[in-house]
Amino acid sequence: MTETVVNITSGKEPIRASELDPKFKYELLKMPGSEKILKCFQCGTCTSDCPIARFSDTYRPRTLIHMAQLGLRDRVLKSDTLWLCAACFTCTDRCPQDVEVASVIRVLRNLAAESGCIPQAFKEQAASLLESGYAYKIPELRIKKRESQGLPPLPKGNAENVRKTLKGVKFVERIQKLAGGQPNTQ
Amino acid sequence: MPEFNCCGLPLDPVSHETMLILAAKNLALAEQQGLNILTLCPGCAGTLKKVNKILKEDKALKEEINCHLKEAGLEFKGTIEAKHLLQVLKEDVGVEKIKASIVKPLTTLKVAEHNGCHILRPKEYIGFDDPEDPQTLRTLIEATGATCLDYIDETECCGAPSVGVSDKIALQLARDKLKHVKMVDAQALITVCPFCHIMYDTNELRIEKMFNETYGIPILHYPQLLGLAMGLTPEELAFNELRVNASQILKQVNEGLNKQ
Repeated sequence: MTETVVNITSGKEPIRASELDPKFKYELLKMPGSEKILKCFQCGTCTSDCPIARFSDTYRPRTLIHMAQLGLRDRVLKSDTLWLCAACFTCTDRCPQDVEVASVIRVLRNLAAESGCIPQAFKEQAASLLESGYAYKIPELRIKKRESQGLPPLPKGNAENVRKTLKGVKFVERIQKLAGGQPNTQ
Repeated sequence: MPEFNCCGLPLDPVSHETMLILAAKNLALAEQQGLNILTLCPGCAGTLKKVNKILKEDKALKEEINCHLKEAGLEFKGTIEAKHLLQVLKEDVGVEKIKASIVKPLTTLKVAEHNGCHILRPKEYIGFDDPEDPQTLRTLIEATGATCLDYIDETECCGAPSVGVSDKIALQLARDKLKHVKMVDAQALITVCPFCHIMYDTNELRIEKMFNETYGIPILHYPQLLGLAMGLTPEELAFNELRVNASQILKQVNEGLNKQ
């Protein structure tokens, strides 16, 4: 069984005061999606409902929010468990404080991506998106099967227009650089 | 709509802005034609609904996104809406019409429903059903004549979005659902989300091998169930494409009809 995430951090290392950045929470308060992070009083409802937390020894939405509130910027943004969230929104629906837990996790993931922490799966989806306009490339075999079953062909999309609208998005420029070469100037 | 692109949901974890632009682009394309959007994927419907609402309420953000859309000659105005097939069947077609179209009532079938996550949550953006006690899929299943069984943890996620990051955890989630569905002797699991369907159908045999267990539960997409009841043939409904063999169900449906 392949585990594509290496070194899932348990977050059990002792915390040093120097690791705390009290300004981090103010950064988060200003970002769309995490404006309500300080309302979290660590009740744990999100974690008890989380389907991923159920089967993971290390993924706990409550802990991620707590780390963010305390200002453990590096620890939370570099953690591998951050990427386990399935975005099922159960936490968001049930949070008694309306913190929008899944959105806070999304903000943290976006910040992690900005500093270069992007799991391979997302890099591939982004590359596919820029090439074809779709995050997933349907295998040739499937396309041939459609034909043989008499189904109409799939639309080709307009990847050029997709690239045009994504011009200037920092994440996209980073992905294009990673793909090797200059940002697409179309 | 040949120019529809990815709705952006898979990219939201790495770039929220990308998702906003991609979703707004699809909405703008549909607006140009004055048409509402029907999606086959609840993830897409949820994303389009969410972005539609967010941009309608935040004028500054709308202008920012429109600057991007302008590059492709598009503009988001917020004049149309997006719905998933399930919502369309419930609201625009109606249960009565569906019942009237049934020619082969599936009265001998006992199935379990799987709504998945994005057809119901977040409540704030989706809103056409209760995430804690969903009724729409249940009602539509019963409209075909089949019985919809209750089982433990009906609203549990299938785990598919986490497959790229840890397939170990995702497979355990899928297995959990299959275990609970088996406990009530359901003859099939009915999905409305293609991602959920792929998760269960392509992984069931793998899960059986991995954990040394037997499930033998065919995963049917709701349109396949409805199609059977409407008299379409299994070939037309792509039953032979299912990885978990569903021939037992077909046999039972035909036997049930012969007895009537």
